[in-house]
Parts: sequence; C-alpha cells; structure tokens
Amino acid sequence: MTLLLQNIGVLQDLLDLALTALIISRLSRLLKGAMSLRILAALSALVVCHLLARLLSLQTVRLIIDTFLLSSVVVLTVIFQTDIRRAFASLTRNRAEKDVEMSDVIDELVFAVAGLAQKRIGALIVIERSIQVDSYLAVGTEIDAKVTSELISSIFFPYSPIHDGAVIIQHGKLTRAGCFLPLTQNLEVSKSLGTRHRAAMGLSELVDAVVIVVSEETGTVSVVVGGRKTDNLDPPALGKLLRRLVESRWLK
Amino acid sequence: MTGAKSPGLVTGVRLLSLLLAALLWLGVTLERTGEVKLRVPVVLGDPPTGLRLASAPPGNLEVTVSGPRILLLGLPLRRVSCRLDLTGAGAGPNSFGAPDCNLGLDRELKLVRVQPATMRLTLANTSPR
Repeated sequence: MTLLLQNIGVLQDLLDLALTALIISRLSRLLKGAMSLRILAALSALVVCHLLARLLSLQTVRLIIDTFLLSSVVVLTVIFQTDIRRAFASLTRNRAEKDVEMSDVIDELVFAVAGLAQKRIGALIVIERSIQVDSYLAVGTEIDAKVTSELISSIFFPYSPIHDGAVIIQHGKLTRAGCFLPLTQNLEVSKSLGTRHRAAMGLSELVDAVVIVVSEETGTVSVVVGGRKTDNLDPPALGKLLRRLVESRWLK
Repeated sequence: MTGAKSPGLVTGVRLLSLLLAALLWLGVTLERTGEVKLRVPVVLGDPPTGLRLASAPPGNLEVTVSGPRILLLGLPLRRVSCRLDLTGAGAGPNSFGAPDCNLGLDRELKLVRVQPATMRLTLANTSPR
C-alpha cells in the first residue's frame, strides 16, 4: 500500500498517457483511414516542432506553431464535418440495424449480378469505399436511389439508354449510372480482356473501390480491387467476398 | 486482394495515436514547474586601486533556478557566471552579499537561491609600507 502511494505519481502519468492515446485513437477513427494517418503524422510533427521551439526558446517560431496547433482543431472539424456528422449519427443506430442494412445492399447486388450473369448481360458496378471516386468518373447520369436488384437489372438491360458504363454505389445508395471509368494503363494486362474489365482495373488502380464486372461474352462474374481480379465467382462466393471487402460504414 | 483498411494502416494509426499522445503528454509534463541547481563560477570585479586579493579566490556558487522544466533542460549547457563587485571594498576582511548573477534567463525562469548568500574576501594593499 505504501509503495502504491509512493508511486501514485507514476500511475497518474501512465493513466494520463493511456487515456490520451485512447482519445486520440478514437477520434482518428472518425476520419477516413489513410487521411487519419496523414493528419496524425502532421500533428505529431507540429507537436515535436513546438517542443523544440520551446526548448530552444525560439519565441517567433513557437508563436507560429502554436497558432497552427490551436487552430488545427477548428480546421479539422470544418474539413471533416461530414465524416464527423456521419460518425455521430451512426452512434445512435445499433449494430444489428446496420448489419441488416449492409446485408440488404449486398443481397440485392448479388441477386442482380446473378440474374445479369445468367442472361449474359454485361455489367459494371462500382462500390465506393474510403476514397471518393467522383473525380475519376466521366459523363454519367445522377440517380440517387436505393439499391435494388430490379433497378440494377433495368439499368444494364441492353435497350436502356444508360446501360453502357458503370453504376456507382456510394454510402449504400445507387448514385450514378452510365459512368465511363478510366482504362488501365498496365501493359501486363492480357489483351484478351474487354473494355469493361479494363475499366474496372483502371479505376481500382486509382482508388480503393470494389468493382464487380459481369462479362457479356462468358457470363462470368469478377471482382476487381486494387488492380487485382478475382474471376468466376458464383453468387454465394460473391456475397461472401463482398461482405469481407465492404464494411458496413461504407454503406451508410 | 487488398482491403481498404489494411492491417498495416490500422497499426500505423494506432502507433501514430500513441506517438501523438506521448508527445502531448511530454509537452504537458515538461511545462510543470521544476528546479535546477547550477554550479556557477564567480568572476571578481576590478578591486579598488591599490588593493589586491589576499585570500583564496571564491569557489563556485550554487544557483537554484525555478520554472518550466522544458526551459530548465537547456540551462546546464549555457556558459554563465556571477560577477562580484568589489567597488567600495577596503583593505582587510570584507563581507559581500550574493553577487550579481546575470544568467540571461528566460522571462519564465526565476532565480530562487544563491548559495552561499555571503562571501568573505580579504583584500590587501599592493605596496606594503
């Protein structure tokens, strides 16, 4: 007991450090993965600079760095207000509710893709994850509708005016159709691959989106992520793969 | 295939969170008030005309400085000294108060103590009669 009381200061410091790390770690989860890494690195660099300026009594440098540090809270809140708002909104919904929503979207996708593959109707479906795909899309028609197998099937139906191009799913909603994607520039890609697959690979090389491709020629289903293609997926395998690749937070 | 939130990214975020927390904690801890004791040599001012130092020169002073720990860290690296003004001293034993220690301290640092508080020096005439 005496030893504990003697070391209370050390325990307090450890508790202080642990709680600070926990708070920062939780706050960084509000932001998108790669972005939070960069922000944490920048903030760490600023704190190191502050400590050095303080140690070396560089008053002007310290003033500038402290201004950056103090305003960073407001700046980050303004820049990431959408992510923060979404994170707080998700706190009020329970996990089961979220899982049901996610399952609905993936089930609808799998059902639509299976139907299209069976009829040998080509399709290209992009599921956005942490990096926004908007800046890589050309043309396209804005839709903003709930993801249903009927809607997806009707978009890719050959007589549909927007059947050429990709359907985009963002935050669990079908936001655009008939979008043209950048084609892969990778020379190692087989020449036998069609434009649809090349577009899927091209986009997935630029962003972390999951792209589902239904081949018009063979009726096979492929999933492309990070420029890598997984072929010949049957509906259960597609569903399983999508559930592994697409986290519920990207569908809300 | 690579997931969007790879294990490497998660580990990176955790490590950087810990690093940032440690840096913030260090920043706060180093702002706490502390004290540091410095051994400062005494520099004697010019003795009055016709007098010379007859006793042993004074040793180092022990100067205690208080303030934020981060500012105290750099103090031992500075070359500082205290100047003892001998103006007005006469021949024989003389007692002086704490010397003027101009350490060039930051505004947030305070000189708390100078030990010894008084110094005894003996001055003698340069040309004995």
